[in-house]
Amino acid sequence: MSKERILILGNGGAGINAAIAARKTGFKGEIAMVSERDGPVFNPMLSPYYLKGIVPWERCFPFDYRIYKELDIRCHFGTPVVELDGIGQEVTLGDGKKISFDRCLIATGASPVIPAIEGLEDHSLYKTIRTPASVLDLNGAIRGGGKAVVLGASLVGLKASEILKKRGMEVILVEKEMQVLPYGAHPLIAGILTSFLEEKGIEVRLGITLKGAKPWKGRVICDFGEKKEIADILLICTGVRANIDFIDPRQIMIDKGAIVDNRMATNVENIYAAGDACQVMDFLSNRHRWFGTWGFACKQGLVAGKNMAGEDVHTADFVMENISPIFDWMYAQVGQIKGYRNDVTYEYLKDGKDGHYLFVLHEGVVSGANLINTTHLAGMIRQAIYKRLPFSYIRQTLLIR
Amino acid sequence: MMQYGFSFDISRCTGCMACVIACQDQNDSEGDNPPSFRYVIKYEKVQGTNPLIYFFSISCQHCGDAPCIMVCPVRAIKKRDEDGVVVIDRDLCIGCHSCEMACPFGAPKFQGDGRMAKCDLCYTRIEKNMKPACVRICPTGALGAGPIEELSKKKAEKASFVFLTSLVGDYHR
Ligand SMILES: Cc1cc2nc3c(=O)[nH]c(=O)nc-3n(C[C@H](O)[C@H](O)[C@H](O)COP(=O)(O)OP(=O)(O)OC[C@H]3O[C@@H](n4cnc5c(N)ncnc54)[C@H](O)[C@@H]3O)c2cc1C
Repeated sequence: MSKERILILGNGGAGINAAIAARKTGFKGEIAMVSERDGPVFNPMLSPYYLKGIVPWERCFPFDYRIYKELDIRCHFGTPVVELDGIGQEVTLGDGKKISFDRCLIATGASPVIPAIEGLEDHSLYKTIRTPASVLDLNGAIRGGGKAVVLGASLVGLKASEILKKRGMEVILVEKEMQVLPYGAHPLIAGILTSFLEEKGIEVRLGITLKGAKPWKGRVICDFGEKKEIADILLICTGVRANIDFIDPRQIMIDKGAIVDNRMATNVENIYAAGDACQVMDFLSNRHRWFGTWGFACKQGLVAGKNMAGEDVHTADFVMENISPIFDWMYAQVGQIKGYRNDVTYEYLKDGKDGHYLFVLHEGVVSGANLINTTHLAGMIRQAIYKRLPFSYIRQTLLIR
Repeated sequence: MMQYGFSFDISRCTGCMACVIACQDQNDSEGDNPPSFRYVIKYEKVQGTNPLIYFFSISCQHCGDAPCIMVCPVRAIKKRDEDGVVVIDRDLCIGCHSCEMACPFGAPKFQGDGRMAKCDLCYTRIEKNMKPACVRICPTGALGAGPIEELSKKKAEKASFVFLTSLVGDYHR
């Protein structure tokens, strides 16, 4: 009988951790990995640090190339998966090659969403930050003194604005909603962040949509209706979408990603998913949600790898979390700020000059928090959410020293 | 693998803060007011008509399956093979604070240079058969350190253990 084969689709944090975990569990069969891009694992979250000059390029690849040899992984790199037949247990690659498997992990991550705006069919008009090529392309385009329009005040949009500003560009941050971080921050916190960004010299325009883009002498004319801007860089940060086009939705349940249980298993036997390509159970809403962080991708990959290797391990449900420096401030979102339920109350507290807490409470229990420069409590607040601890506990033990 | 850790007996802690000072002194970090790797929290509860006050002295717990390790995007956090102590290579740290979000104990502390630093269980002292600075100074014997098999044997029935477990226990479900 031939060896069992685990096939991993995607060579990111989720994919590589699955391979590591499968081998650690003692899996002796074949591990094959398919990746659209050739080269070692790239960590997209390091790209802002590279662009700011904090980490050199080679350190954006946190796993050595030797890992594939050490783990005895058969690499099929440089061509994408175009079709996955979960029931027939076979994938088809872009070059027509077919690979069969006993168990398969979908860990193909996500890609920036390009809004359907006239002119943006021309990829040369805009930049994104996600893949190594896109990061190098952006890096090469940054010229001190020029003008950049950043579309989308997501956390990536805020980080990108900081990078471009620090590298000497005039930065206009444009958001179609009436606040920055429209999905992750309470409007009060968003307002504080907006003032801070403005203090740092970034022009923040809210409630504005891009109507069209046109090339002009090597630059881009961005049409905002009443106003036009001629930009040297148009950077799109309007969110990401899971890379799951190769999935047949008649077989595998998908929404914003492949839907998995707490073993990272999909509804089709022997098919697993992890990282930005999947949607897992949200502790607070009891619904499957897309999370999209490096830590979760790695953790989910590990659990999937163990289960594919024959163990039976489960993750806890997930609580939304985001943490990031923005200039010299630290911002975090823990749990659910918006859209959790209607019957919530808010508690805002200030801590010194630049410290802010915004708690979302449901029946006195914390379900979310935005923190500015008070992120030393982030992990403990996340724990309090898991434990459904009353706000009075947090106030007493953590806030008052 | 050997796993060292701290033990803490809540019934003995008086909140005197000696452990915090000893830790700051031992780890002598830069700046006028560096964050301490150990801190004390107070918890008040009323039982019947009696107010009860508890103090917890908390630092890195050197978790068996430390959640900070996996989230670190540059793989700067590691567990030492010889004693299970969780350590950071500060030269690699980029100051993203992912570990701060992952840690249920608030153990990662960020120094003036923006990089993380944390309790290392004073492993250099342990290697010389000395106690960690906080344990050595504790006037009531509330804090202890050693291989966890020994600690849990001694402390398993203590209220502190039960309480801390209720606070953070099933994080690693
Ligand atoms: C600018 C930026 C900043 C970020 N900041 C943070 C942060 O501060 N903290 C945080 O936790 N997270 C952050 N993230 C998110 C984090 O990087 C991702 O959540 C994480 O990298 C997801 O890992 P993954 O393995 O699921 O996917 P990816 O890293 O996207 O890897 C997917 C892999 O699949 C391959 N692939 C894609 N399509 C196919 C296909 N059809 N066939 C074969 N292979 C395919 C890709 O080439 C890649 O190798 C940031 C992301 C960006 C872009």
